[in-house]
Amino acid sequence: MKALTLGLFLILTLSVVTVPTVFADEDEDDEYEDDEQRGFGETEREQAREQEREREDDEEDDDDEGLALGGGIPDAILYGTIAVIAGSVAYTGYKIYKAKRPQMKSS
Amino acid sequence: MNFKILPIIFLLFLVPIPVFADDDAEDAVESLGWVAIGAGVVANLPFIVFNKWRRYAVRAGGQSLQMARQAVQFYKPVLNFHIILNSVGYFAGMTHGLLLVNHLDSISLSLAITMTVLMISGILLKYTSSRHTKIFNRLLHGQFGLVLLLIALIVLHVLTGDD
Repeated sequence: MKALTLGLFLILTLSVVTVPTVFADEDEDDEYEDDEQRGFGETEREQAREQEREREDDEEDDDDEGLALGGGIPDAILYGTIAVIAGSVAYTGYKIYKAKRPQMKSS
Repeated sequence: MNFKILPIIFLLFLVPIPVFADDDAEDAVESLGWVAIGAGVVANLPFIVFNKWRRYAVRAGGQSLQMARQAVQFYKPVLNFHIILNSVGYFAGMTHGLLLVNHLDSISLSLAITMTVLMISGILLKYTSSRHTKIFNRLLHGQFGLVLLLIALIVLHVLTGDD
């Protein structure tokens, strides 16, 4: 019963915290509504859309470059992190194994 | 378990929300990252200092030992504060990461992995009933190397975040 109450509470908390994140993103439709109020025509809007699409394509290209594996200091950091975490887990396991071995021998 | 504490936990989870009061969406997401760092510092620094002092006092003996015994009653509240604020920091950090997933780089990914490993080991340490899992996670959660790695990755992430 306690676990169920805690689970429900956690779900409620997470949903409440997650909802405001949708407002972090600017709404494109709102932007265009503002444009109409200011008097922008259809052609200007299409041009703006085209420019935005081009900018997004450029950004995607940059992202692809950033994610390419196999070289660079950032990738070395990622591999290093994975190695450190794996090392920590292995070292912890070894410590427990070493502490238990003499007990097993004596019994 | 005392359920009176639940409303306080709920309110603490609302701490990151004021960052969305900002007009600029990108600034808001960036602020969320700073909330995560701030929550992490406030959650961990007092907890580490308290534990180190208690260990030192027990080893020193005499009057310090008496003080350490009296401080035992504060351990649970300090631990709860550590858990709650770290959870707030973790979820704020992960939301910051998810909103900026288009700019994902190796350093951010490393930071997310390290945070998740420490968070999972902390949750298992607190909530598991298995003795072996508890011992394993107690040792893993307190690994000095992992703490150093986390600090280094946060510094690198802040330095390279604007690029």
